[in-house]
Amino acid sequence: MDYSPSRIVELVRAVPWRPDARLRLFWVRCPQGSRDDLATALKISIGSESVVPIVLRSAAFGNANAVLSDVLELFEANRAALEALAESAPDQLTVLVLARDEFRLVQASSPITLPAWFPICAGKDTSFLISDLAHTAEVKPVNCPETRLAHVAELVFRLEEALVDALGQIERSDPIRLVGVVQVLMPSADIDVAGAVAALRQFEAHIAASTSEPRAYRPNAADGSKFLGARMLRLTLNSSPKQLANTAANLASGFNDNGTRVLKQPFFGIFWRPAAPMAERVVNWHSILAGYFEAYQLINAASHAGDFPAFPVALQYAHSLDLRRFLHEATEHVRGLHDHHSAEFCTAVRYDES
Amino acid sequence: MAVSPQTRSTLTEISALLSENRIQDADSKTRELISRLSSSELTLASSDIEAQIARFMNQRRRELGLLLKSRHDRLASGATSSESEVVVRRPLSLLDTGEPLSLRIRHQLHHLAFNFIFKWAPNYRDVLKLTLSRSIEELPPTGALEIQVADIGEEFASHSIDIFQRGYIYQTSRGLSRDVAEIKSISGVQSFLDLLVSLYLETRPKIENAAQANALWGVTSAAIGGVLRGYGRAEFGEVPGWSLLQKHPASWLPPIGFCRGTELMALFEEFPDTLSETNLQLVLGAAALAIERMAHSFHGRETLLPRLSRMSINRPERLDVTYSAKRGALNQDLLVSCFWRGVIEGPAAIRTAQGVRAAVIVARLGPENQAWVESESIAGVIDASGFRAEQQQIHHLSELVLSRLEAVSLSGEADHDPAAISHNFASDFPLDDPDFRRQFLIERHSVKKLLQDFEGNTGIHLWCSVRRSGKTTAAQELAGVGGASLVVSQTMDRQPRQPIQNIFSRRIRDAFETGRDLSDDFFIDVVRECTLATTASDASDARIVFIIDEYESLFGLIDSNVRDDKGLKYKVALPLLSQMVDFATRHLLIFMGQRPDAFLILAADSQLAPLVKQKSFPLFEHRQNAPSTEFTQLLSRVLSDKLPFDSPFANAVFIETGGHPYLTVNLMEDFNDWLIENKYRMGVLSLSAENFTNFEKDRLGQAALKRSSFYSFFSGQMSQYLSEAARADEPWLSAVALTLKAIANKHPKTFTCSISSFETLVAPIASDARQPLGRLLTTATQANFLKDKDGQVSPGIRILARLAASAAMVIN
Repeated sequence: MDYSPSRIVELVRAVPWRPDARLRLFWVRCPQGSRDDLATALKISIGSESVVPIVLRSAAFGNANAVLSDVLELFEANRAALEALAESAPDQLTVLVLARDEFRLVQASSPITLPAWFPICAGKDTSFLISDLAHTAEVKPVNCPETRLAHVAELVFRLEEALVDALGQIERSDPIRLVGVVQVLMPSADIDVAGAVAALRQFEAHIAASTSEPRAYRPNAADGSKFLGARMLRLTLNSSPKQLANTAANLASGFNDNGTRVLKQPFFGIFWRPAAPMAERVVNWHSILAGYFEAYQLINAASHAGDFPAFPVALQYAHSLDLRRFLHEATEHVRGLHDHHSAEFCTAVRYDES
Repeated sequence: MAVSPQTRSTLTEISALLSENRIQDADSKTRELISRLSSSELTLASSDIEAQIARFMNQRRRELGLLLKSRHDRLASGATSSESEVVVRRPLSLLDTGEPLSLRIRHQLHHLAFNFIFKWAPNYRDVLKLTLSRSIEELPPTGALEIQVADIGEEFASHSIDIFQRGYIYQTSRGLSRDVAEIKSISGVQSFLDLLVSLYLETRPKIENAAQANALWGVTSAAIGGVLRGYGRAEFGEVPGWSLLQKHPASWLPPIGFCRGTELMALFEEFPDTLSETNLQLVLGAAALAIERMAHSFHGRETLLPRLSRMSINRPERLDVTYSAKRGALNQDLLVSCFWRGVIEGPAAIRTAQGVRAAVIVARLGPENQAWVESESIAGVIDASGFRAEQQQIHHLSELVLSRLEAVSLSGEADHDPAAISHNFASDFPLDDPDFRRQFLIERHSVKKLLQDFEGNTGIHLWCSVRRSGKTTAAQELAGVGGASLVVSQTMDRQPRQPIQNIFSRRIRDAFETGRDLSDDFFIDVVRECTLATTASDASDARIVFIIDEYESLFGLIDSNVRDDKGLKYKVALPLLSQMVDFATRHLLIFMGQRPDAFLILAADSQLAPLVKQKSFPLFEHRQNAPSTEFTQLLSRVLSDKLPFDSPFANAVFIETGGHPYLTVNLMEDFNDWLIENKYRMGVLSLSAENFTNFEKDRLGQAALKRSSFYSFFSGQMSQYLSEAARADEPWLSAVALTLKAIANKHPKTFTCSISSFETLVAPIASDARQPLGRLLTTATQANFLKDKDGQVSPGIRILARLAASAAMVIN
């Protein structure tokens, strides 16, 4: 994850100080780009605050016993920057280590004695923990641009659009099958061909209305909503994992998914697995229902200031990455179902006939 | 010429036997000791032996006293000298009261200079300890105190010129660079001064009246002032000592806080003018003179003496000296805070000094501060800005300081009930301040004894102990010590403040960085270089004890270098290990650290691992009921003389901390806080075991410890050891921490289980960590994590087990 300098500063401020602590050190992983530029930009955006960025160049931090000793060397190597702070006599100091790799060591080393020129606790024995900024800084979803909400919205829109297109294909090739699918989506109504076609027109109208602004797309599950996404969400909200698997099986048949391509589930999807094993083509549709639902909940969380707890930025980012990966793959998958329509459709028909 | 660790431990045993009323045993031990000791050792230990003899009842006291005296006389006449030391001429004994003390001191210092140069412990220590105890005994009644004090100061001055100049010439002639020789020299003067301070602090609690106080303070000041004047007068390759002192103020400023004003003025008189950039002479001189004058009004059983001197190196630099004023039941601390460099602008600095409860703050104030102090009539801030650094002016300034001190001292009497405890004395112990901590050093006979037990041994020893056990301090104190061997200590931890401790580590890092074939005598050359730099001695034919502290980092470094570079393995790592093995055939190599399995790398290719023998490293030693042990000395430094305690109390604390110094301080801070909460009244009774038991119930239960903020370092360490990452990366530490936790949870009252129930309890932990159970028990016992005694297993440090059971979970 690439942070902007100002975002780093925000995150640092989001981490509360431990009581009595005067010095802390955050590990900031910058896998790409120039860390020097970042350090310079950080200096500018921090201004007079007692936060100091340091670029880690040596091959240190490979030894649990020497973690703090390596920190000391890092301080010596960046003496000028640190010493410059002494003038302002800060009460507390945050050091940011800009590193290429992750920090993963048990922190069990002896305390270190800070050098006499150090701006804080000079000459004192000090012990502190190094923490990964992204794992430590916790923010509410509403304050976490790292979730890339607009992209999630766009991808979820594309998935819904692909599904509606697929239904259009089905209408043209096999209206009876459309009835089956719409019946699954609207379990409380009694669906005939006219009802199914009417429902599909509503789905299409909704897509058409949103197509100019896919990045602002916000699915909802309100009772009166008649678009495809709302119907999928209501199915998920009202189902047990077992019921959801049944619905997925029906959709897999309705969409003629024969399981030759297997979608990797979203991480969230595995928590919805029913007790009984599912066929691969069923897993695909189970994942689509769960993934759509996941995106809907994320968009909700990220749009409401209250009600939601704060979570580590790294977790929210990783979650969003996985979700977007899935939404994209699912869209391709659904498009694939009708792009190869003629060939696969024939296979499927034969399959059905047998 | 030193008191051996065995003698120290016999003395401790005698004192314990006396406390237990085993008079007959104590008597025979004392007799045996008196007849066993050589002349010089008997002399040096005489005041300690006398102190024990004084605890016997009439008849025995007389007999033992006579025995000691006749043994002295016989040895002095040379009848049965068992003296084994090579001495050109026997120096005049300190006990020979026929001659002036200053003359005896001259002889003793001369003897030290030629036979034991720079051997601060035990040789200098034992001689100077006796010197101080003779001073307080002999000088007060003679009336010649001031003359003797002046002479003694001059003796120290000439001694100081002599040894430091010789040391420097010797080292540079052996090829030590001037920079290193300079650092070595200045740290030598620091060690000398620290030794004087620590002996002073050890003697101070024994002072009973103003006359003794005067003698102790006078002689200590003269010695400190003398050492500095001598050093200043010495030349180090055309550089005068004064310039070196000026360059490194942190190494000598705290000790001069223990000097009387008179000696300080004499020192500053000689200091060249360049130093007048600072306000030392004016500010510190005036403050010290004021205190000295105040001391003149203490008579009879009243005493006024410096207790602590602490320098703050954060700018603006400040020296805080705490004086302890005892008048009857009143025991008052007076803190004098001196800003000794520059003009103090802005009230922040002054407020910091007020924050440490300074009675008087002396500083050159800037205009803003002047206005502030005046407009808000801030009491206790004395402005030195109108004064010049000359005799008359300094005296005027000292008048102002004195009148403020007297006002505070009087108000202290009328103020609040001095018996109610309101201050956490244990938290004054400078756990995090290595410079200040030097004043609190306890001499570790147990560690010296350990080293002595291996006198003549070769091979590789491993000393492991829980973190913060005092290993590093002990290793640095051991340097140079030893009969026929030279002890050299190095650390793998980076010590930018003590570069000569890092020579070995730097050479090893360089060797890996250049990546060339290691030369055949790489290791022995490095050892030689370290020896020259750290001990000022020639290593050519002596047996060397080479201590590598934080040895885990050495093997971590080797491991990380060979992991992704096979070339380094064959060019550097394996040759290095085999050179270490070769070294160990003639010398003793000691690895020090926390974890006993770090050397197990490259095991298939190297001969090193099978040679490593783990030995147990002693924590602060304690013997039940003995009034003075390493542990009780530590405890009384921590609790200060404000909170005296009895033997059962010390025993109870020892059961909890096992003599672990850092945790003892943490525990006493917690305890002192509890005393405050319970409105404990000072000065009525000594602290007893009952106090501790009540504290234990309130504060050491699992629920209370979870909330406690007093043990943050070890609680944090335990959390790390118990984490998932440690299970994979630090299996030994993880297994040990899980073991401690299991014992604490299973036996929360006794913390003890039989070997068989220990095996049942810990078998799953050991197998999970792939550590053989027996080996886990042995290694953890030797490293002080566990104790295995009489078929019972318990934590080596009980509070550590409690912390393991209550540590917060770290998810990593």
